[in-house]
Amino acid sequence: MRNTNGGNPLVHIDGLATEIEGREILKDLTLSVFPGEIHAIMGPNGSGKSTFAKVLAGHPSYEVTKGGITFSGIDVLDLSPEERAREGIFMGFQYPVEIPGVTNSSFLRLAFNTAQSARGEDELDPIEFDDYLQDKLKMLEISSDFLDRSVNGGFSGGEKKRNEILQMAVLEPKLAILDETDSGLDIDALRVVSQGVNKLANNDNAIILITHYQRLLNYIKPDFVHVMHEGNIVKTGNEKLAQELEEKGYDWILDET
Amino acid sequence: MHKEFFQGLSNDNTLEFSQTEWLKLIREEANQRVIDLPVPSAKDEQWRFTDLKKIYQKQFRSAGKHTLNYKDVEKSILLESGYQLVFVDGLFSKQFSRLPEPNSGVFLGGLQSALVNHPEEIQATLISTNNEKNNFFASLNTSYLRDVAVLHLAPDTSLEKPIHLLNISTGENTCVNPRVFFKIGAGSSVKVLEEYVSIGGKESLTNIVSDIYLGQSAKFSHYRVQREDVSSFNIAHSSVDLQKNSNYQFCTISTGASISRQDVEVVQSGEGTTCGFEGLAFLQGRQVCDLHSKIIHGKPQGTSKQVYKTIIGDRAKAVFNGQIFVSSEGHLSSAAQSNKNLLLTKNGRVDTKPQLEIYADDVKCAHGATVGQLNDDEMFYLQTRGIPKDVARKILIYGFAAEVIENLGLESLIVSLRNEILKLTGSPVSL
Repeated sequence: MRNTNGGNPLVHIDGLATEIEGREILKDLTLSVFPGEIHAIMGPNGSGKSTFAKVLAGHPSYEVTKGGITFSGIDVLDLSPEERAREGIFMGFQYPVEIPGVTNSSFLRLAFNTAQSARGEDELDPIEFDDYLQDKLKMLEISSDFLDRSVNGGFSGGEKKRNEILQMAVLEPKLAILDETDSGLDIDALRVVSQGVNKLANNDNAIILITHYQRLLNYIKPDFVHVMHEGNIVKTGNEKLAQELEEKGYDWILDET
Repeated sequence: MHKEFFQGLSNDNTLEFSQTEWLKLIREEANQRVIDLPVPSAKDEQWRFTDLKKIYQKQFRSAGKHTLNYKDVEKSILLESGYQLVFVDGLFSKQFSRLPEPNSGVFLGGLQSALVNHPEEIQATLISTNNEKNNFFASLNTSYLRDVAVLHLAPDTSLEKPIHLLNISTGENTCVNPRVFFKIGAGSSVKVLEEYVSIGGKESLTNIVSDIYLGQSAKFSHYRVQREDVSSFNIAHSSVDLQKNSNYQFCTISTGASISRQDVEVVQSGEGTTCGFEGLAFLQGRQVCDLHSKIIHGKPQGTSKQVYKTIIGDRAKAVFNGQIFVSSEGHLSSAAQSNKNLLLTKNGRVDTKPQLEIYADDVKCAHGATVGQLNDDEMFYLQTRGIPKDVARKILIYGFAAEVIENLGLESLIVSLRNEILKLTGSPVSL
């Protein structure tokens, strides 16, 4: 465990309940994440994992009916997704959106500069930004022809996920929620994406990995593993819990609860 | 009676071809039809969704002499074009055109020289369309015919560089009747940008008839861009005939005109032909854009793929009527059609009617139409990158249009349309 667990949590989710179209998806969910931590959230299909990610990032379709989310000491429930992003919350998507006609590089620069100006810092011109980007590309072993392509346009599954990690690297969020970043990846792509995440993880940020399978956790070592079921965290453990899940499936936990 | 709108037009009898007997005859016949035929109205099934009252209320006149110089025209010329054929207010302009050498296998020019170079073909095509189209606007075109844009490509002649057919409207309240005749010889290939622009033109009616013929194994990439002044009216009829194994790739882009209506009929009259049909209309204010297309699979093993997109803002309206017709001889045809409409406002309107009519076995056909707003999940994706909602919206509208534009394959056309769409959407990012 890299963090000392001292100080305040980066994000504190307190008794959160949410609905979409009158259906309750999350029920009384409580979780604290401290800087420097990596949390994995696992669970069967339909347990509410992806909803949890979207609610943290502020998806407008979900209504929070109970509880709250405090991020860096501020209540973010009333903040729009873009405001949350500027506070330092990032979500990596399971199905990243394709934006034809917009290059990755101009999109990244727009996102970066929007955040810069929100922080009252100087925006980077295309040349300065390119320098900044080249370092990130090198770190993530992404070739620079990635930048001239339209955002996710015609990207393979693996390329899309690498692009999510590149966006994360550029935006340097305090909290990254990666929703099924491993889905649809072959072993090589999984390794590359995981290495990227490991390079980006540090003592000041935190990562929540949402995943179906234990195999991602062979590459990224979580400090905590949580199991979700019916909209709540029903068990929390460490890496060993993930291995147990891999061997025995989810049923035994669901029986326990 | 709605026929006052063209009563102010005059037949220009000073033109050199005016005394050509057969032409005189077809013009007179057409003139009679214009008198006899009712003007299209909302009562006609084919015109149900497009009200032409705004046209009928006007009093158009024939265009006079234009005052353009090359500087005005130059900026509208496609940079990479090899040859350019420029028409101003419906008349061929030698001054602004750049034409191939005689006897090069490529004929490009106006009616006068076409009558010298390809008299039989010109006569045949003008007579046959004239007879076939019991149609008010097509008859109006023939009746007031002043010129024809002709491209005639001999067999096995391929042009690397695209041809730009530029039609410029300069008048106010004028009615011009451009005519287009493209004949692509067997085994030949060419790219043509057919464009309609206004340089000073306002509240004018451009009424076009086109006949396009592809010989065996010919390949034709045809881009049609209509960006006339938003006070103008643009009506177009085109028929395309595809001989065996020919390949016709059509893309139509509309951003201009107050009312624009395009009827395109593609007939696969030989085996194994290919037709690609793409389109984009970007509409604002009270613009109305109506595309009626009919692709006829008349012989075995033809394929067609149609993708037509519209973006509707303000109180604008898009109409799509797309028919795929597979005749009893059209075995092993494959047809795909999709119409996607992005409706940005609650006062905008879309009428879409995709139709499949199949009389053959062993065919693969699919069609679909969607009318929608911007997708919440896509907006959310951009917002989670810190991009404000209103900017995210602009980017996604731009992206919707860009998908058509970026695939055009003519670099300077892409750049100019990209800039136009960027201006229309306000997107801060592009390619």
